[in-house]
Amino acid sequence: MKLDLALLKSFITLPEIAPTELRHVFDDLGLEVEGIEDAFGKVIFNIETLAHRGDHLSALGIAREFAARYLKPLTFPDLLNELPNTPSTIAIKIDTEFCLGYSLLAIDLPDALQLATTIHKYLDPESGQHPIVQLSNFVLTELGQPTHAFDAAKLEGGLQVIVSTQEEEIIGLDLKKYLVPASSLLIKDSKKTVAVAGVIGCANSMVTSETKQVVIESAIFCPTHVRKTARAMGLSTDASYLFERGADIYLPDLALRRIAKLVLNARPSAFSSVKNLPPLLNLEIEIGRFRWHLNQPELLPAKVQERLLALGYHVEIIGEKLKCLVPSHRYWNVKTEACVIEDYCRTVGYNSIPATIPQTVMPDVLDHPSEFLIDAFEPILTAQGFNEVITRSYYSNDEVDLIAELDQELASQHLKIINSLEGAYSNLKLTNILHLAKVINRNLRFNIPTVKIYEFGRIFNNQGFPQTPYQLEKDFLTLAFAGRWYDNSWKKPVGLVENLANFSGVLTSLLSNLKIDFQILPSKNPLLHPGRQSQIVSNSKTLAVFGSIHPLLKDRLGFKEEMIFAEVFLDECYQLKKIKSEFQIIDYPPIKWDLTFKVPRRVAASRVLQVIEEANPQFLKSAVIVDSFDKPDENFTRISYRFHFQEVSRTLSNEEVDQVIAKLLVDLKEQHQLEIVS
Amino acid sequence: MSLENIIDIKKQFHLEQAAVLDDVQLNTFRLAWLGKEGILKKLFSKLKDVPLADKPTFAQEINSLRDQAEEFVRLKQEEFAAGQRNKKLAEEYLDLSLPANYLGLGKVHPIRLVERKITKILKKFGFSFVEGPEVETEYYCFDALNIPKHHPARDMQDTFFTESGHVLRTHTTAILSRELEKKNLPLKSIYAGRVYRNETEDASHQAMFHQYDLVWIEEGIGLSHLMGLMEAILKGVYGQERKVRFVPKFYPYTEPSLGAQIDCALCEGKGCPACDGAGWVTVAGSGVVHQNVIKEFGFNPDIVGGIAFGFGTSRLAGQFFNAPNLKTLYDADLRYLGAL
Repeated sequence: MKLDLALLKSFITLPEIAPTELRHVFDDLGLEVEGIEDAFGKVIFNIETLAHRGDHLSALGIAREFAARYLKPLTFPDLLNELPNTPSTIAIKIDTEFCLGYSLLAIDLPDALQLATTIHKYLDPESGQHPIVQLSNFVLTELGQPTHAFDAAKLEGGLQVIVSTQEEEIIGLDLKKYLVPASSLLIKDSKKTVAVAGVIGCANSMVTSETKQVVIESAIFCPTHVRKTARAMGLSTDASYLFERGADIYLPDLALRRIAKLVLNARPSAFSSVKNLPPLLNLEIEIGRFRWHLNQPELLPAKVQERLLALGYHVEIIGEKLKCLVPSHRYWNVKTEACVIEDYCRTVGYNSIPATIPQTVMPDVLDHPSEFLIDAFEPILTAQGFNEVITRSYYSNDEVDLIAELDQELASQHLKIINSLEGAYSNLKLTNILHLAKVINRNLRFNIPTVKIYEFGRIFNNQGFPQTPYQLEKDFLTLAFAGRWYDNSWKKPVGLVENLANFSGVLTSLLSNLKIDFQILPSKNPLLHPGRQSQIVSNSKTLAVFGSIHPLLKDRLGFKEEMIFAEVFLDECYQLKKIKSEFQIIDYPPIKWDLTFKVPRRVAASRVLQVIEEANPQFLKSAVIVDSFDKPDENFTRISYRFHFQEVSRTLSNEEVDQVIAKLLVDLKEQHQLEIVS
Repeated sequence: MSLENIIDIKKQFHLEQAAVLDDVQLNTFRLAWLGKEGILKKLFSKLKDVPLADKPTFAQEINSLRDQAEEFVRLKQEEFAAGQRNKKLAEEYLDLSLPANYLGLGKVHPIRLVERKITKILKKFGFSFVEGPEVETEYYCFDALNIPKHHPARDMQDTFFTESGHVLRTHTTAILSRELEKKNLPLKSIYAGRVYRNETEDASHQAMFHQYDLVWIEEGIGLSHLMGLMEAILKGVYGQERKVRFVPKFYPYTEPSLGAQIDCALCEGKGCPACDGAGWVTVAGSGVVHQNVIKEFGFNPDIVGGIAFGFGTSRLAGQFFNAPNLKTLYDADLRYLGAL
């Protein structure tokens, strides 16, 4: 809000300090100063008030904070001594609990309405507003009570405060059309809606220069209802802004008395009011609670009392207790002792409270699984030149459609956001391939020769993920690469095969760092190239999937280069990690055999290893791939495997191993048609 | 054979020594002088013919010549071997000034670096890292945290709702609800991660951003502890020389609520456009955990206290790395991230 310093000073005597010094007191009171305008003899503070403090939206409310800080009295502005005894001819009916009070003051207007000269300096002569509207706005700024002026001649019958049952269209005072949703608080006369309560009046009853009598409404509406309606209408007015934050429930009639006092040549002719005011809350608080929070064991009840009194509380000291009657301007938000303690803290300033670090028993601090995995993976990834990125968790329907081109079933598993403001937020991502592909593409366009990126994050799925800590989401690590494997390499780039091997090597390093034994097996990820992908499996669990991005995605995303992508599933990795390696040193020498098989094209080299493992040959310690060779005219690949045979307790004989090999070869040929080359 | 002959032989020896320029000549020299049929062998065999009086001197001379010849051959062999080795090494020259096959060093994201910096400080105080779901129920995200139905944070405009009836967590404090439900006190936890707000993105607002929360629930914890802890942590994060102050704020799940401010680094507290002339910049929100939150999980707020505070990690990373446009942190432009 914008506060004229002169108006504030009309309530309280402030220390003679420069506005730039005074701003720190404002800040300290929770009235954050965003700027000071100092021109033409006026000092205006632009203040960001706290979201729950309707009372701070007026000079009176702010003056009250200064009064409690400096323990100085407030000077309340002049009011009309009494409102007219004559009831308004306009009947009031409140049909809802969401209006706590509704008052109407009728004023007969002369041809030229004169307002008190003391307020002229606060009014804007250029505003073009009717003087009564200017007065209403001034009282809002001064006291914090929204009021609204109706042209009495335009009202038909009595006024009724109701909760609407259906949506309706109104034309506001700003002459714009608004749709007011059902369940809004409305002010209606016998024939029409004349105002949306606490938000805006309607043009059909607005004051004009022709108006002879005004009826000024001063009421209290429920913050929730005002906020919901204003939001639904896409409108925020000074009145709605204040009502949303809670107005002083005892203020409406005082505001009307202030208005009546400030019109010099007009006569308030009638006054009516209907009230349904709740009792004010009484809180009993042990002085020990203040002492404990403020770390001031000697704090006296009387010290607390004098500050709270200055804030408008009624405070009675009963032994070690303070009986605090919550003031009407804090009706909406002081509900617990903590609120009262907060009020007291503000009056003395938080920075005067002695801060201390608590004594505590230090609990064991354990690494969270995600911390453990990040610590294990990050050094490897960064040493291999991978840069961490953070991409957004959502994408648009267009991206879902792109996935649907490859896999309808997968696309249907997206968890949709039903109220996204922007199309880009319509779906939570269930793969990170699209985001990383876009990051790669963008960076390649910047002529960055090597783009290696990784991201720790979450993917989401409307079906849920089994065996993960969260219902609809799952932790992942994704990696992607395009360009040259070596950063700024000056040599001819290596081919896709070598890049895939390099990439696979990074994944192998990650899992090896967790001491996980794994196999690399064929996979069927719909978003990867069907012939250029694999999965890393351990204990029948897929730990990662990797390969070249599917050509269709590549085309749709405008890629020219190959992109390699991997998705690593962190929950599974964490479950299978080992703290210690199971490696055992055997003192007896191994016997090595190198065998080359004819492996049909499209059968993975690792598949042979899997078959061998399933055959479980005696004495076999390990089998690894050591070479591969293709001839263009052959429909198979020659793949060499190295077998290590070893016994823990003795040296094996060649004959023993020969027998095992012979049996293995027979099995491979008969059951899997794998022929040996050499 | 006489001593005069020895003088001539020595002259010849020195002449032939001087003529040895390579391996082959050295071998010829060695055979000529030290070989089985060499000059020195012959001289030794003629020693018997030398007059008795000259014999000691003659023997001494040819022994000396033999020593010189052997030393000469040894030294020359070493010299020629070294020369050959050097020649071979010279031929094996490789230009190591050619560019390396450099993998490049990857970088950790600025937000993660900031999280790590804060976590390092907090772990010294005994806080443990905890995670929670991003797709959350309204209960854990709002109701349990004293954010009633009418609070603006629950508006459709601010909160993402999913078709599954969940919300995307609007703050990492949602994890606090889940932790309090476990009823294990004392609770000293830190929460960090992505949070979501349904708003249009611009330079300073993102629909997805990062937060970092700390919560300490234990008997006897109160406001002055919060302030002491925050001051220690903020000085750890920003530097011991920085000034810290507290101003009133409002958060629904804390009461009292405080904003922690540090003196503006740009103007050193004097006031500048970056700090709206205040000389102070708000860096964290905090407060005493609201009594309603404590009660919600069955604890007695007269006994059990709690303090909490949170950083906007994205904003903090922006401050640390001089990246005021938050969008750049999420756009993954490696030219930019690499330079931070």
